[in-house]
Amino acid sequence: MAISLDTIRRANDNLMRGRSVRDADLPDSVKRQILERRYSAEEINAAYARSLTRDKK
Amino acid sequence: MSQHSTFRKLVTHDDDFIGMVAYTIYKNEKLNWIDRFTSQAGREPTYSEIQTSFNVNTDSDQKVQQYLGLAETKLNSFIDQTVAVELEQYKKEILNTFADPKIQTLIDTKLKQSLVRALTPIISTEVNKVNTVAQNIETKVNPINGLLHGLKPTFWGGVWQNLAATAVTAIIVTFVSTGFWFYKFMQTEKNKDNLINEVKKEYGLTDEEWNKAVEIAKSKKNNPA
Repeated sequence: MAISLDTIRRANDNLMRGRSVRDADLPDSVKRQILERRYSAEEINAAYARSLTRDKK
Repeated sequence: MSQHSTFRKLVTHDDDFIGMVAYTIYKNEKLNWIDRFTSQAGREPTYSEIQTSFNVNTDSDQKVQQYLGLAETKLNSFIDQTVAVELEQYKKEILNTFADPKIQTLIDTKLKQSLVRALTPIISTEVNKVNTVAQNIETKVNPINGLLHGLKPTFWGGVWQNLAATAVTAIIVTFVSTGFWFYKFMQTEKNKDNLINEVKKEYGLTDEEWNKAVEIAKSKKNNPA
């Protein structure tokens, strides 16, 4: 899933305004799934490493 | 402890994104401390004051793990928000797509096609059932048709039937006419007897006198002179 810069800006804006994922205009089951999924430090670092490799290509 | 040392403890390799975010948290905390000091003391803290007051335990394993944990939590919140915003955007796009009349027409068409596909086997089954029932009825009706066909008269059979019917009709008519005539005759005879009895009674004649009068009348009729 390619995330646009606009999406990242709005997500950051939501974080700064303290807007919760629970306030999102999405079905409860979807919001629950989003909140239940936790990414470990290793997963985040691995994703970051992949994105760096992708950018170099 | 120098800033350089803190960075090395938090960021262990070039792909350590969590460490980089943890370092920004550390840096933010340090800047906030400097702002507070400046506000309270009316001047900026010296390097020595920062090292002895703020950086007392920032290099401890406990503090490093705290920064890394905070970074992980903040990044998860950011990922959650990003996914939610992206999905909201998808939802809007989908709703806009469905609002398009062309898409609605396409969906209607596809729905109708699906409906036809779904109903065709059901209708075929029902039609087959009806055909089976019709065949059963035909099977039962055929022998009856055969019997009726057997009863159908040939040409000469028809002629004989007509003749027989005519004869029966003639017999019935004759019988009824004869009966009717006989009934009238009996009525006439009865009336004649009644009339004779009235005449005999009127003139006080016995049966013998009446018979004698009848004979005289007959002889006069036979011999008018």
